[in-house]
Amino acid sequence: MKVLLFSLAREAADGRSVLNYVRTPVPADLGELLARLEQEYPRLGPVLARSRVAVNGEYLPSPDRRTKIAPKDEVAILPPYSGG
Amino acid sequence: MTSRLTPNRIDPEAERRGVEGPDLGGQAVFVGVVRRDPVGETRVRALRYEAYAPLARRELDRLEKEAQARWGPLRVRIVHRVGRVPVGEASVVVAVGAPHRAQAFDACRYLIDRLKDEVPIWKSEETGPAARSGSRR
Repeated sequence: MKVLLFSLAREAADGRSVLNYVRTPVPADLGELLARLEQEYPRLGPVLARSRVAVNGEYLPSPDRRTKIAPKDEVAILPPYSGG
Repeated sequence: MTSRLTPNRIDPEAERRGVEGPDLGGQAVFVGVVRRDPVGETRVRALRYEAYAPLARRELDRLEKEAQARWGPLRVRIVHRVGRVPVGEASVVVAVGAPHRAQAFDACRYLIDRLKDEVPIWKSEETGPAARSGSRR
């Protein structure tokens, strides 16, 4: 599973923009993934709470923590936008 | 679809020409430019923009479709720069050609407002000493 971190999420994860979870247990749902991210990078917690999530380039219709995710999925953590 | 992300300098006039049409009597162009805002003892020297490109492109296309449905037929060009953008250069251009001025203004404003909230693009500031940039006039 590939996790993309942008902007404030990357800063909170010590500058890492891509995380790969290849060893088991690969998170099985969004809740497990978010918990694992926060455990590995405690500063990510408040950022995750304000972020949108996309799986394979599509927004989750509602970011339900029970949403299943597969090992081949690409999950993007999208903090509040600041373009323009 | 005619909206895009680019690492290159944006030419607003080229985008305006892209929304010309024989039935389009009004063109509105918004140009967002990097300001040298003060940041503590320093000033912004440039902004760096990053995007989640596949989703950003789709969201730009979706916004254009929404504007078409509401004010169309329009010609629309939305161009957002990514990477380093120095003070004084355009970070974003929204150009709209419409039959009349009201649709052109309304659609242009709608598109830039929605872009800021809904398109996955982020900026970060690169700063430098205030004195040097401040003394230039």
